[in-house]
Amino acid sequence: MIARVIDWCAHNRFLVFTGTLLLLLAGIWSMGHVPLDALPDISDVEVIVHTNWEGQPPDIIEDQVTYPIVTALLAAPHVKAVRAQTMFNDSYVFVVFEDGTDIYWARSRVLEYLQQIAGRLPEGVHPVIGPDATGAGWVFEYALVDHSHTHSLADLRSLQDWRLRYQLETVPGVAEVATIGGFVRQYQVNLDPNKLLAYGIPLSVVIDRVKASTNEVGGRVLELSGTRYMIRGLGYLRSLADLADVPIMAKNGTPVMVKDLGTVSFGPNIREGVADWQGEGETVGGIVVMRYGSNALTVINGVKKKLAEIKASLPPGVEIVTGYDRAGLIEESIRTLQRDLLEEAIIVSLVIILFLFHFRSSFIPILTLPIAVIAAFIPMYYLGVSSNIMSLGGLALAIGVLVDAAIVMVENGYRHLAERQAAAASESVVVTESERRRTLIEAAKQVGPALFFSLVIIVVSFLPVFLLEAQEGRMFRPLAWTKTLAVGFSSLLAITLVPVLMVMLIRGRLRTESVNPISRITQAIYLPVLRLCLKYRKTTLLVNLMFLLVTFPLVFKLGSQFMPPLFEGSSLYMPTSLPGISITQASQLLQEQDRILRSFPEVETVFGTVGRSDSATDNAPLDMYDTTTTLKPRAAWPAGMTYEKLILDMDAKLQFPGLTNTWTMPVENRLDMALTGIKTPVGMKIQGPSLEGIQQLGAQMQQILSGVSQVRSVFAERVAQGFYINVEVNRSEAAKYGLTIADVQQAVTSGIGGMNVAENVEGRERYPINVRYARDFRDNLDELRRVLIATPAGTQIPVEQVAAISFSRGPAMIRDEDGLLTGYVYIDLNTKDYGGFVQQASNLLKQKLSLPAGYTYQWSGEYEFETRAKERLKIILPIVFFVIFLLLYMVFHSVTEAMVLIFPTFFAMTGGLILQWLLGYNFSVAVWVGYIALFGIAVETGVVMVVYLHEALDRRLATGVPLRHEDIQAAVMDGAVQRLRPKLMTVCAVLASLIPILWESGIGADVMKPIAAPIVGGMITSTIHVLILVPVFFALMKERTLKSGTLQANREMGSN
Amino acid sequence: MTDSHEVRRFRTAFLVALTSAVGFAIVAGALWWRLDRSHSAPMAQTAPPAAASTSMPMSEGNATVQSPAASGNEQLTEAPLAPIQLTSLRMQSIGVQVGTVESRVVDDELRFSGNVQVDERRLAYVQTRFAGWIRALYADAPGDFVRKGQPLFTIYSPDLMATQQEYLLAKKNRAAMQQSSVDGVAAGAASLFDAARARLLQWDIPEGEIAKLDTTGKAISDLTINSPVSGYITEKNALPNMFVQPETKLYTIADLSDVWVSAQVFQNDVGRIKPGDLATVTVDAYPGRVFSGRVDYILPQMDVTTRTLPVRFVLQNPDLKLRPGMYVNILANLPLGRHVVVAASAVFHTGTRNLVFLYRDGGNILPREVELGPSVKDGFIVLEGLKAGDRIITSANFLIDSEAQLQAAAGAFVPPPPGAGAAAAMNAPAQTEAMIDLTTDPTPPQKGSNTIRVRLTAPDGKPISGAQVTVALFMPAMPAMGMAAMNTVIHADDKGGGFYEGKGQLGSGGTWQVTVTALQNGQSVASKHLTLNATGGM
Repeated sequence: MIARVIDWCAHNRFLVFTGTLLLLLAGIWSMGHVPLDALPDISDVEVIVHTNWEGQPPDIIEDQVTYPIVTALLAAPHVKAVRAQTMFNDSYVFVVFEDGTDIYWARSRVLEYLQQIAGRLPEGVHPVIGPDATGAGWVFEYALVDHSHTHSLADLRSLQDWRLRYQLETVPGVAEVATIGGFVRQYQVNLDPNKLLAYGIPLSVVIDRVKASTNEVGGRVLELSGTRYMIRGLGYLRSLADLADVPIMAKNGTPVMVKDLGTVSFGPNIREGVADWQGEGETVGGIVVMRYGSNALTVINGVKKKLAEIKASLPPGVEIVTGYDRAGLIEESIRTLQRDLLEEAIIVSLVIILFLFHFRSSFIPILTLPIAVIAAFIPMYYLGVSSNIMSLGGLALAIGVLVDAAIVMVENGYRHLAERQAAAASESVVVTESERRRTLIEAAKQVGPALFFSLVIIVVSFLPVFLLEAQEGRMFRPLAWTKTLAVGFSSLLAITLVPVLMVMLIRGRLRTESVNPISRITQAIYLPVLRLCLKYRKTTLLVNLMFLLVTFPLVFKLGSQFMPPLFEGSSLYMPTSLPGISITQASQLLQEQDRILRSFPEVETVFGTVGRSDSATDNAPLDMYDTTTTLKPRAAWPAGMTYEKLILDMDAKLQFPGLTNTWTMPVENRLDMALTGIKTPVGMKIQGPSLEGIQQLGAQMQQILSGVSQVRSVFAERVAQGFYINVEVNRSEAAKYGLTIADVQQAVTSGIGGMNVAENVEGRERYPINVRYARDFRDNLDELRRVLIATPAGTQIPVEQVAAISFSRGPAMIRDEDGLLTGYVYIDLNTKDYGGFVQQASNLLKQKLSLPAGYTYQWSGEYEFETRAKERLKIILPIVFFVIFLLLYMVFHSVTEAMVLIFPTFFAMTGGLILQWLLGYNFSVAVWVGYIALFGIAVETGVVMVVYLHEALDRRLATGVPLRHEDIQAAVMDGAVQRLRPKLMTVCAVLASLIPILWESGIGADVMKPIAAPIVGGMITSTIHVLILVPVFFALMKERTLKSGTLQANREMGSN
Repeated sequence: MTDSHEVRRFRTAFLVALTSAVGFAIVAGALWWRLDRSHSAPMAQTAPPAAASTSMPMSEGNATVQSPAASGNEQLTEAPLAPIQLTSLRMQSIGVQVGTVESRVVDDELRFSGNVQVDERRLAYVQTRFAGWIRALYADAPGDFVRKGQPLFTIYSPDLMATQQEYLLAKKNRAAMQQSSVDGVAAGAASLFDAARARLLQWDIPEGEIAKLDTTGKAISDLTINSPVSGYITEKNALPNMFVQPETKLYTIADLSDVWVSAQVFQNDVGRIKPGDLATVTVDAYPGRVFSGRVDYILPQMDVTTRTLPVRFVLQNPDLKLRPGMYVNILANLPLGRHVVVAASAVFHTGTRNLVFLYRDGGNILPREVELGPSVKDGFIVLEGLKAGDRIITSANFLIDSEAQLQAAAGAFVPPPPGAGAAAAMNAPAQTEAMIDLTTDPTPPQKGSNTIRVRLTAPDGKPISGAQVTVALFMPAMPAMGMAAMNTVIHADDKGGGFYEGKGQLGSGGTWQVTVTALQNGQSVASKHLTLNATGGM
């Protein structure tokens, strides 16, 4: 059938060219439209429910808001997990849906379920679902810098909140623009309790009056002399003075106004985040959050364009500076991969030219290569696979394989024609055009089916990668797609375009292979070696077995990790303090940190934040810093500086007491935080009925585990270590004054806390109005005790008389996973051997820890993925072997031959191991994917070898002369040596194509290298194996069948 | 086919099969092992239900590990107070300031509000002791200032007229009878006169008027009434032609050179204030101006409606700025005497206790629990835990406390070597560190003197000489046992051949956290954490 296709194509040139051209055009169009990103978005399908309840501590929000939401959502369809985090002011519920759930469908379900519990939530609390984005969508961050020093932080915040934000949100693909830092301007009424007392006005009256002082209403219309007048009642506050003049009550016609009871001023609303630029001082930052599945680069470019437009209209002196820009990473990594692809293409072309030594013929595989690559983008576009390190990496891995088919076909055609020409020359006739054409098509038809089949082996043996699930699946599926698609297209081209091109381009005087210098040199080396090996077969086998035995122990020397980290060109410094740090202290530290970071010559900019922005995708507590350091290009670094060294240096300089340092990179961190919430590779989640119990359990684990030698640091979250001041109502005392609990609590919320009682509308902007006691009357414990409460009798008494005020500890932040209280333990190891550590630690914990009833713990972190990936690989690897074996059996109809050909995979693995060990790469999913790719290629080269050996043997069988022992050996020598060129060519193409990746140092190379390393190393050993062991095995097998008298021509290869 | 052929054929086949089988087995085994290692570790650990009732016996387990259930979930067990050590650089980075505990005379402050009131001791009514009609009114507007003796009004009183007539009559009579030799006549007339005069005086007729009466001999119809005091007329009821009866209050005259401020003191503060305490008073009307006064009197009875106790302050009011009825803010300074005082910023409220961080030389910081008395201006009185002259840390307490907890949790007394941060290692390949072997003499170590030997070998197996080896031993505090944290640092001397030896004292038996660090040319070549169980009692 394949031969018929080749035949048909060779006779329908025009149609083939038209088809190719159309494919090329569609490919180019798709290339331009495929979304770009650095790494595939591996985050889960997640809907965030964010509830803001101003001024409330975490335990209150947890009880009244988070828990009801979590329990309601647990029952929603296709929900995989519900995680929640409750902090001061905010509650975040992360609803994780099963893979493949449509995000918008999921959002509708969440809304549906929220609807059910709407009535059960406290008054004025409205959960909202976050943007259709995840933390991984933070693609661009900026800061507002005021060079004129005339704008206050409140002004900058207003500029950001009311102008920049909405303008940037118009950019397509932007889900949200979040603001961090600065002050939200607030109208503040600071009351003097003494005056309230003097006038006998309770606080609640003031609140009511202020609330009723800002509004505008409409009064329908009035018709006057044929004109319609719209009536409106004006009443927004126009200035602070308006607020100061709000009347509270009147006595004998003398009004008592707000200004008589206290002062009014603009002030800051409560803050949960601070931003700093370069350690120069506080500023306002903006975070552009990209919509799920958008094209990151397009979004960033759109944002930048918009910012350039806005620039002219900014107040003088104000500048927008870039704090973080993922475009650099994307462009750099894409550029790296593009460069690699180009280098690979060039190298592969050179290899082909060198081996064929005929420019026109070499042109055929060189031409099919880009066509296959470009065509692969068409299905990518329709599958929604973005162009990223992984998908382009898939192409890079495929390039060496892509040309295989074309090479072998061209080589075969070339050889046949050259031999034909040589034969013709000896008879001193010229090969006619039609003969040339026939010879070439025949040559193509001869190897076509086998080649197509070997490419199918490569494709099919790689298909199990699609079985990877969850994060690793999302990470590697793009790679698997592009590799499979490109190889698929190249197989298609091999049987359609290549024969046509062969007929067109292989012409003129062709030199026979024996004239080719490369062939001569390689054959001259190979022949004696093979002869020797065939002579000392057992020794050869033994040596190889020894090699296998010696190499495999390397497996135990290598560590393992989930994914090799990607150097992103910027680093994220994330120190954590214990919960309860004040914003002033945090802000001070932040500036100090940024100043130190900035002093490094490798650092370009430092954009520091602490706490969280107003985005639902940002759930950082105030004790978590998040400082993005954009590094200069590596070329600008002092000589000898590496990223690891730089981080060590920075870490040494940033040893702040009370802070635990963490260094990571922006994309990596956002993903980690979104996926498990655990920053270290290994962590534990403790669940139980009480936070105190969890904290104590965590502390004990910390104590037990810190003795284990692999542990560098272990840190149990202090979940119950928030600082509280409790106002506990003494019910009987309160009763004496006729006060209810609610009365006292109102004094706590509005007198101490201050309530945003109303919102003033100022054109496009809206600012809250807050009423509370003046600072002097609530800023220390003594003053707090004297906050006044109005009694029903009309008098006012200090809260102290009816309530006890005390310090205590309480939850600082509450984690809630699937309705259970949870605390994390972070473990930083000095070993990569997570598995061994976990086992040892588990035993230790079992021995030393008595687990109270109701408490459970489980291992988590990146380790969780690694474990899951390993579990999956345990299924995938046997499937790979089985699939390969099955394919081989289908080719050769012989279990023995299939067994023999499975062997290259193991020899390939030894080489991969050696190189992996030399380069110091740990086992990771990436490495395993490399091995899986390697197995396919290794088997393919083995198949090609066996095909040639069979061909040589068949030729001898065809003569009809009974074969002897020596004939087999001669046939093996013939098949192996004479057909060395195509084999070496394919192997060299694969090897050479991956070398640019190995020496690449650009951004993105860190991820590709571990995938490429096993292939490169493996190809070397597998080639040796294929060139030497396969002939030896083949000879052994055939001699055996000869002796049993069953030797006959290979059915499979001869037919079709 | 010969037998030898047969044999060789089988041998070859056997060899092929064997090679394949062995190779396959090795590879499959290796792969499986790699993948399998993590699997055998249990992913989750759930408490067996039986554990619910059995709390761990102390003798069997580690004493420091207590079940949360056993210790109760209600009260958090606080981290033990562990000393920490910080380099000056690290202290500087968080802006640590060192202050001194002082012993000084302190005042407590109490803030409340009050009203300016007339000093009731300086208040006078103007009333007549007889009925009559007001004729001329001199002081005719409320608020006017009158001096003492200044005429206020004139009054016509028929009664007074009659009495004057009587007086004049008596006077004439007395003059006539003076010469009378009849016994008792003169005396009787004189006593009559005296009685009339006394009556005038009782009616509060000024002496001057009587003198005028004497000289003129005519009854005065319009008697002038003078102001009895200097002051402001705060109330005026007198009107011309008004009929005045003795009970009619004509004027209220207040002397405002001193005023009272009546403050409303809440029940809870009553005990803190006593007469004589100084107070400063501010009035919104005069921003920036401070009046000073003192507590004059604490009234005996609470105001039931407002639940406050009135306290009276007396204030001088020379330029009469303070007007009765004015609403004032009072800040009372309540002297507490000499006390040990610590700055408010130095106290760290952990929620269950109050901590102060003592600063010792060399960056040693020692947390100390203190008992606090009342708060005074920008500070607290320390009842227990500190003495005057102690050097303490007055800023960045939160971070110091965090650091103490972190260090205690890590079980390390020695600050981590630079670069021990989390991620450094996440990315970097495993460092090629030297190996540390530690032995003790005696083994196991005992309470008291021990010799500690450290052997340092490079990764390639060669011993490392010329390194500085420090062994830091640390035992966290055990508050339950009343034990403070202990630490010992031993500098081991190079004995050659990669062996280092040092002697040190262990203050107690039990589990010690040991950190061994080796420096070579200022660079850390190795570090190791381990635990040692020392014999001997606590």
